[in-house]
Amino acid sequence: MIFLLAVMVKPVEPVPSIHIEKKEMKEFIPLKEIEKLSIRLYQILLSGQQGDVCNFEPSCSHFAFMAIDTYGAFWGILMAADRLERCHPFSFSYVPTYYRAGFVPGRGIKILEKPEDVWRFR
Amino acid sequence: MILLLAVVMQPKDILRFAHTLEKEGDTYRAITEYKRFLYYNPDADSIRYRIVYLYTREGLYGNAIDVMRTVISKDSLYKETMGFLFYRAGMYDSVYAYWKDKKLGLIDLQEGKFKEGLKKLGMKNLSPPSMKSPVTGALLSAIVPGLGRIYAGRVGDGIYTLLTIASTSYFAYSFYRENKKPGAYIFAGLSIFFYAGDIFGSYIAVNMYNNMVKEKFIQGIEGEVF
Repeated sequence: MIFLLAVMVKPVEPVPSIHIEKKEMKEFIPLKEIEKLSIRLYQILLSGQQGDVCNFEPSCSHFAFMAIDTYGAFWGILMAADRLERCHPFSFSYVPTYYRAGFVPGRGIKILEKPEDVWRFR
Repeated sequence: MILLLAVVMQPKDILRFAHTLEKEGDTYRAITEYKRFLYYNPDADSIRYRIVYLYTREGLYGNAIDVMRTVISKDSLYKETMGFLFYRAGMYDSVYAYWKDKKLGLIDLQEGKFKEGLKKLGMKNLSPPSMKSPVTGALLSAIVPGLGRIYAGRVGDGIYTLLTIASTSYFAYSFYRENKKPGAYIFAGLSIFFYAGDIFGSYIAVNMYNNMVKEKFIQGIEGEVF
């Protein structure tokens, strides 16, 4: 049996050695770090209060964090502003999960329905 | 037991098993079985084409090209398929080595050279898709916030942006009039933030609109060419 297997199994090619490059230290840019820190603070202190109500995936704060980290303070903040302007009640035409929001007297704008309810009533 | 089955199974059984897996929609296991069959029958080019078809269906053009490179008879079908795979993978420079006919016009279309592409394809009667200028979109947004997005076909975004910028500006102005400077600065900052984001976003939105129009146009032509 072992002989049979040894005959039939194709010889395994040697695995090439993987060269791991040392990660270069990222340049410290104060404005970029301040922006990232403020987003992180928002995520820790405020974002959790409203729960999972994001239309987009990833959420705008995560998107902004990644954009600033990748494209720098200037372009990242522009991309974040653009993303915030695209998250609104009319965005249901191109956003798969859509939370319906409404004005509640004394409480301001609140999320009224979860996506599954919205889809059910359509 | 499984090992024993693997040893006992004849190539034709492997092929039958692969066909069954493919019918059941288990594409990746079907590919594995087809590859196992190829191990016993290295000359079976039809099976290679089957694997290529399955990889193409899954959008794995790189894997399909790797399999195509092992095809034995490099005939016209081979050239057509390789050209098609490189075209789909977006590696247009490599397509020229395989395609020599009018299909090369598709590459010009992908690169935005509509007139040349349509001429090569022999479709002079067709008019190129009407594109919009991203710079115009950005300028429109600079003049009236949100107008650039409406120009790009996103009316909802445009109205929402206009309302956002107008309200933040109004709050900044009213705070300033009441001599509440911290509030005025905060809202003025927000207004500038959204205004700059709108100009940038309009430029991107028009680019996205252009890409969408281009893709639709090319898809229509691909339907006639392939």
